[in-house]
Parts: sequence; C-alpha cells; structure tokens
Amino acid sequence: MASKQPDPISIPVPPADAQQFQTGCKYCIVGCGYKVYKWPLGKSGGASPKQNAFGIDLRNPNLTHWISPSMHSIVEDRDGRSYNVAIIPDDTCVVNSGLNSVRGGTMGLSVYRSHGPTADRLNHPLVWAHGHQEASWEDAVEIVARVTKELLTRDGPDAIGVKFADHGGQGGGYEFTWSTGKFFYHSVRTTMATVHNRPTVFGEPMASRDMGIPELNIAYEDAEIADTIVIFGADPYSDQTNYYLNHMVPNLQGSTENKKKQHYPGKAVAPGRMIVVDPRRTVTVTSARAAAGADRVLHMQVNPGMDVTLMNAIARVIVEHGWENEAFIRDHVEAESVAPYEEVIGKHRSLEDVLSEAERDAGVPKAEILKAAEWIAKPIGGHAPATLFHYEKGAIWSIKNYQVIASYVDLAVLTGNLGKPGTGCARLGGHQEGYARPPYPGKRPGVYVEQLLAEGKGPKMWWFIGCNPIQTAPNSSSIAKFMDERGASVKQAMDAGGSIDERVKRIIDALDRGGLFIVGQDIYPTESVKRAHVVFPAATQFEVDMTSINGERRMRLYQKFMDPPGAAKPDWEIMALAARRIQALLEADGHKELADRFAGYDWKTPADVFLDGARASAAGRQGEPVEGLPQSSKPTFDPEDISFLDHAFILSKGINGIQVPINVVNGERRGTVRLFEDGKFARPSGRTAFIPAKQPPLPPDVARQRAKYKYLINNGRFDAMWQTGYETWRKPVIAQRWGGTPGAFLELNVHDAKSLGVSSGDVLRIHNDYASITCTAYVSDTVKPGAPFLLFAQVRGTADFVVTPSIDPETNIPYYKGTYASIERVAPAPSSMKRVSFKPMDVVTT
Amino acid sequence: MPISRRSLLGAGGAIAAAGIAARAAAPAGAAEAPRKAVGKAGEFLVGKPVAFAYPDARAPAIAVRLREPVPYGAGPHHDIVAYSQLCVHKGCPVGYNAKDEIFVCPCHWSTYDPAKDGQMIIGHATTDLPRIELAYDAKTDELTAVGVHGLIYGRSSNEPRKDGVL
Repeated sequence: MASKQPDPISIPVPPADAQQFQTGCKYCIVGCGYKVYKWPLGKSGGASPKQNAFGIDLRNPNLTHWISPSMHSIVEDRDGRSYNVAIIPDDTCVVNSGLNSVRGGTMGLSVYRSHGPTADRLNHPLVWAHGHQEASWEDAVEIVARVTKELLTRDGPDAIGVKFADHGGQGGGYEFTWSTGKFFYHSVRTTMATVHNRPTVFGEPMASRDMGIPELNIAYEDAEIADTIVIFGADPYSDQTNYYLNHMVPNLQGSTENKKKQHYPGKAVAPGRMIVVDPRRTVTVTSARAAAGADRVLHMQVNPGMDVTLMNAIARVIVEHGWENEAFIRDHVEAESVAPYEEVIGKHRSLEDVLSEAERDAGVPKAEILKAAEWIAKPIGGHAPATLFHYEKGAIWSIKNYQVIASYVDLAVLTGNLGKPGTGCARLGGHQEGYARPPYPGKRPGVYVEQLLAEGKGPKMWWFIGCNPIQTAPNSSSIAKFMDERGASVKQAMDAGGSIDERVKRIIDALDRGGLFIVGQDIYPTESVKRAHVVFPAATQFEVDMTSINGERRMRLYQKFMDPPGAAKPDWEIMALAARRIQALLEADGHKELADRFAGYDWKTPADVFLDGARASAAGRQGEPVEGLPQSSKPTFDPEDISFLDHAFILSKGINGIQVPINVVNGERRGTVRLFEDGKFARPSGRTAFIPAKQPPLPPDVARQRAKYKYLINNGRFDAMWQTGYETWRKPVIAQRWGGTPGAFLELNVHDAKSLGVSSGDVLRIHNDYASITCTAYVSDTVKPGAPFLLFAQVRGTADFVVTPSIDPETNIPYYKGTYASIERVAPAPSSMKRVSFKPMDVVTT
Repeated sequence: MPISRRSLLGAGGAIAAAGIAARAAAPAGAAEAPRKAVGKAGEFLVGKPVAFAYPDARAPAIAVRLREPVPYGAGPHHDIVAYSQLCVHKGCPVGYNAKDEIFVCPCHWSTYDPAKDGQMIIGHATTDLPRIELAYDAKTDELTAVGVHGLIYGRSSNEPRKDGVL
C-alpha cells in the first residue's frame, strides 16, 4: 500500500562530525526537546561508537537514538549544497526525556524541500495583478508601506487592522511577537487588532488573571507530585502528549512516590488520582484507567456548557464537609469576596437541593460529584491533598468564558491549591507561548474586528500574520465572504497595473469606496493567503533562531539549521523592512512625529529583536538595560516576562533552558519554578479573590440553532492533527491515515449513525443557519448520542463555518464548542477511505 | 496478551538478547530479504497471535489470523497477517486486543490496525507498524516471511548494511 515507505529503506547514520543543533517541537505547548543532526548528502557514519554522532554501537538495535523515516529529510541550503538532517527527540530534555509525539516525531517530513509535499511553501513576495504574481521585496513592501502611510495620515491608526499570532512555537516566538507587536501597537497604534484564534487581543482565561492568578503558574513536575490531577475540557494524551506521558502517567502508575516524599515528608503517599471533566470518553480517560486502575480515575461526562453548575456543586460539597482551606482563605484571599462566593455555590441551601439540581442540569450523577469533591479536598491522614487543576479549550471555549473559568479557578482558591509543589491552576495550553508586546492601545474586552469587517465597517487595510482567519474564527465563512467581496475592488485596482504610484492611488480609491486591502504573511498558500493582495513569505522554525516558552514557562532557544525557502524572510525582518520604509515616506511628507514612531527597527539579528523586547520589559522592573545586571530586580507577575534575558544566556542553558520570569538576586539570574510560592497574588492587595459565577444561559444565537437543529456540534483538536492542518496534511503518513485529502472527520455516536443510516467513511453534510460543510463520518461510542465531535479548523469541513458568531461580551471569547446543526449522509465512503482504519480510538488494553 | 508457545523469541527476550545472540543470523550485505518459515496456515486460529522473529532473531514479530480477509492477507482465506512486534514509537513490544483486532503498545498506548496495513489508529509513532510480507504455499500450507514493508524500530535498514550498521 502507498502508506508504506518505499522498500528498501535505508536511513544514513550521522557521522561523528555531523553538525548538531538544539530545537524544540514546533507544535504543542509542551515544547519537547529535539536534537538536530546535519551532515553532507552522500556521507554516512559507521557502526562503532567513534564513527557516529550518537557515540553508540550501531551493530545493535538503536533503542535510544533511532531515526525513523519521518525524522529524516534532505535539505538544500542557499549555498546550493544538500545535507541530510535528522530531527530526533532529545533524551537529555527533562520535558520529554526522549519521547516524541506523533506531531514532533514527524518534523522531518515538515522541512522545506523543493519537491514533494512542502514544495508549495511561499518563497517569494506576491502582488496581485490578474492573480498572484511574483514581485521583489522592494516593490511588495513599497505598496504596503505607501498604503499604510496614506491611511495612517488621512484616516488614523484604526484604518489599519491586524490579525496575528500571539504565541510561541512555529510561526511565533518572542522575536515574532515583539516585532509584530511593536509595529502595530507602538508604531501604527491601532486598536483594530485580534489574535489568531479569537476576536480580541486579550487572554483566554481573563477571569483567572482578574483573580490575580496568571494562567501559566505550574511546573510539569507538579503533575508528578499531585495527589489528584483534575483535567477539565482537555485531552492531554492527544494534545499535550508528553506532559501527560512523561509527568502525569508516572504519577498515576505510582512511580513518583519518592518525589512526593521529598516534597511532603511525613505525608502518606499513594499513586495519583485523576478526574477528567469532558463530555467525551477520550483516550486520556481510557489510558489513565489503564495506568492508574479504573478506581483511581473519575470521568465526569458533563452536559455541554453546564460547567459552572458542576464546579459550584463540587464547591458546595467541599464546604459541607469543611474541607476548604481556612488558613489559605484567611491569609491569601480578599475577605469581602468570600460571602458572595458562598452565596453563589449555595452554601445556605441544602446540599441535597444543590446536588439534585446539578445532577439534573449538568448530567453528572451525585455520587460522582461527591467523589470529585473528596478527591480534590478531603484530607488524607490529616493532610489536605495536593490537587493540580488543569483546563483548556473545553473550558475556555465553553458557554461563557468568564464564568466557566472563574467557577473552576474558585475551586483552587477554595482549597488553597496554589503556590505549592503538586498544586496550581493552569491552562494546559495549545501552542507554545512567547508573548512580549508593547501595551495594546485599546481597552478590554478588545474589538471584534472581523465582525466589523463583515458589516462593511472597520479598518480599510487588514494584515494577517502567522494565522489563517478563514479556518479559525467564529462564523468564519463570513470572513471568506468579506475577503472576497471587499477585496474584489482592490483586485480590480491592481489588475490595471501601472507604476506603484498609480496602483497605490487606485487602491486608496477602492478603499474609500468600501474596499479592503488585504496583506497576508505566512508560510503556505492557505485559503486566507489566496485572498490577499500582497503576500509576504515568512521563514519559520528551523530557518531562523527563535525563543519560546512551554507550559511551565521553560525558555529555550531553537536554533536555525537550514535556510528559508527562496526569498522568504523571518517575520521580524519583514516588519523592519516595512517600518523603515514607512518611516522614510512619513519623513518625506513632513510627518515627523509619526515618522519617529517607526524608528527603532535597526535589528540585524533575531538576538537584537529579543534584546529590544527584553529591555522594554526590564525597564519596568529595574530601569536598567539587560546586559548590566542589577543587584536585584522588582518581582513581576507576568509569567512570560523576558527581562534580564538574551539569546546567548538562554542558549547557554541548553535544551532544559530556564523557567521565566527571571528575578535577579545578588546580581544573579534565577528562574521561577512555580508562581505564588511567596504567597503573593497579582492583585493590588497581593491577595487573590473569589469571583462568584452563576451558570450562564445558552447565548441567543446558539439557542436559535438548538431550536431548529438536532445535533450539538462539539469540535476541537486531535492527536496528529495540528491546528489548521497546514503541515499535518503535508506529512504523507498522517495524511494517509485520514484518507489523503485534507478534511475534517466527525466522531458520531453509533446510535446516531444508525438512525442516520451512516457508516464510517461516509460523506456527511453538516448544516445550520450559518453554513453547510461536508466531512467524513467516524462512528464511535466515545461521544454521547446527539453530541458528535468534529475535528476543528480544517480546510474542508471547517467547523468554524457552522459556529455561531456568539462571544462572551465580557472577554470576546467565542462559544466555539457549542453550535447546533443537522447532519445528513450525502454519499457513501469514497474509495480512498478503504485504506483508513475506523477502529475505536479509545481502546488501549489487550 | 495471549501469545502461543511458539513465542520463544517473545518480545522482551528478544530485546534483552540484542547485541550478541543473533548477530550471526544476519546475512551481512544480503541483496535479498531472508525467507523464514512462520508455520502452517491451518494452525492459525482467529484471536490467537503467534510470535516469531524476522528478519533476524533480534526482530520480534507477530502474526495473527483476522476475522475477515484483507488485500495482503496470506493463507487460503487471505486472512493471516504479520507485523513487527516493536512499536515504532519507542520500541516496546505491542500486545494484541483480539476483540477489536488492534495492536496496543503497553508503554504509551499507541494502537495499530492489522487489517489496514498496520496503520496507527492513535498514538505517537511516526510510521505505521512495519508489515511482514507472507508468502503462502498451498501445497504445504506453509507460510513464509519474505520481506518487510516499513522500517523496523531501532534500525537504519531492515538488512544489516555493509558497514555493519543494523
């Protein structure tokens, strides 16, 4: 079959003198360490330890440094020479200890090659003229700079909109966020900004931040120490794989007891327990049961969106038994926040009433709620358990973001599970992180720019960077529509050709008549890029030095080991090109003050960009530049703060890096293992506070769909599938597993499948008031009847097309997880599905 | 996992023995994949996996008879298939879930479908499970392993190379 590698396979061995680099996984938040070997094509190392770069005897099976066919590639650098590269998991990295996920382990297939699946990388600037035409950097930047200057001086900063990534890992990193943030927030000063996955630039768990609890507050080691791990709205086996496998699972298996004793001497130790709150029976649930035993894993299949009811009921049980942490509440919680919280959790109502209501509304049996409260808070031998609270998109993108997050973080506050080993309340995370930007010039909750654009309002120019708006925004078919409709007049203006002057003049005319000038900056020709008028080809991880932090704030430098394709440039360099040109244009027009805002882009290297951002951060903490370290620094609560760091120092810390934020003590830089160890929280009082939350009703847009359509369409990430699939589908072994053609599949309950006459592999149509999409059926009993699960963000079967425009008005975070639609079978399985396995995905025992 | 008594070269043992025991078994520089008898098709029962080793003694393999025929299935009913037993994630020996006909890795729970060419159903491996090609002789009812599709875990080639690298 085609999915196999061609026979015979022979992977060359890196010779002893192979170049070596450190990198991290490009994809998820966990940030596993990888090691890169690069050596000339045609050369291969030998079997003896002295003849290969691993220093091991390769006459035996290579159990520790195996190069799978998906970890190897051949790259051609700009010097015209070809090299072997092998990207293998790093066994010296404390994050993954040599483990790889299916995502990171297939990075070899993701590197740019001039032929094959990655050959369509954007490698040249493109300018519209009867289609995309290659242009020089000079011309492409000139057009964008002139339109920007014209709008800025005539209409003001808000005529220029942006949607850009705000994260680390591939397509991000501190150099990315700082350079793009400096451009749009400091130089342009637009409020018309949103980030890659939401109609706001503010964070996803704002309720937690308002409680003084920034969401990246734990160390991965905490999952080895916790007595109970709570996973709310997340599937870490799939989506935070090696945090789960390398830190949570050993605890569930009881192999971290020594570490527990070390941190809690005198406390009875036992294997960890896990509570999973998820409507689906994910492979996290079944594998945790395999690891811990079914009696140490509690799976609460909450009714979608009824999270606050459930969390408040758990809190009610805790206070019934007096298991709350009185000392913590007395010493670390704002006293006036206590009574409103007690009111909202029903402290003054009977326990039975609260539990009956929760069982009815949240669909979780009373016994499970009682057990959850016990595992979270009931003392064991006189000691309160160390409970680690985690959450991700099932919580963040639930019915109403602010209240759902608040009700969950309240449990951590109630039980005092913050700032100690084995505790914390943190996002599991999606991408890696790496946020350093000047302050956003607008106000909370931000601006729903895409909705303004869809209504024919908002900015006249829209620049998207490192994101794909059409596949990752609520009701996102409306984005394709406004890009097509409002972009058409600009295309006409550019079709007419002529000098740059003439073209810019016609573009501006078109913008004044309701047109939208679209600039796309990315690595692949996505559906969004296809609609841009000017396209800037970006470099990505492997092609430029970059820094990111993982979910425990571990800062590492990922080294460049190959050249970007063609003329592609790192994002920071593109921003600098544009800024310098805009500055010159403004100066020439006599706008000196505006021109000065575009100064400060004379970076030569990514290290310069990083240092620029680090200095800006450090100014607020000490008032001194980074290199001359002060004797001490002011503390910060920003978990992504990069003060007192630079590339050389970070690289010197190797693949295990250093956990930010950095504090300078006696002239030395010290990392932060976990937040709040000093008992201080990020509110002016230095204390945390409960935020009382009531169960929110279904938003009106969603309620209207529910009244008309039968199925709740839950949607999200899954295992090999990384975000919009931009690289996933270019990896043959993964593409083959899902039929070869990019598209979403829908896990559909067996009873629903029966009533719809559907078999696995069949083509389905999902339809509601917003859109119709097609996808592939995967019949399963891991989802409840009436509540199928759709892979999100794909190019075909784009889940967000049928997601309503509904957002939480307090945070602008959408209710992505809840929309309703009809499902029908439109065709039997295509022949490509004959190669696809539709076996159950949660079976992990023999 | 129920493995028959044939499994003298059972997974753990094979790994432990790696290094010395079987080096001689590897035909250095062999142009053709070795042929190795796996057993008589008639002795294969649905749900009862059989362990063997291929292409050399350090490569534990597992053959199973499925409930339904598959395109590359061997034997009179085209329902016998064989795979490397080493999970292509970290090299742990996979077990067999006979009810669902799934190979399951007990270390990190990657799963593979023997009815779909060893396709990874879910998990962390970066290739499908290498499938061992079986030839069938109807006269003798003998199954013979004749080649491997996909790279066996821990190797740079399924054949030892001229420089001695496995």
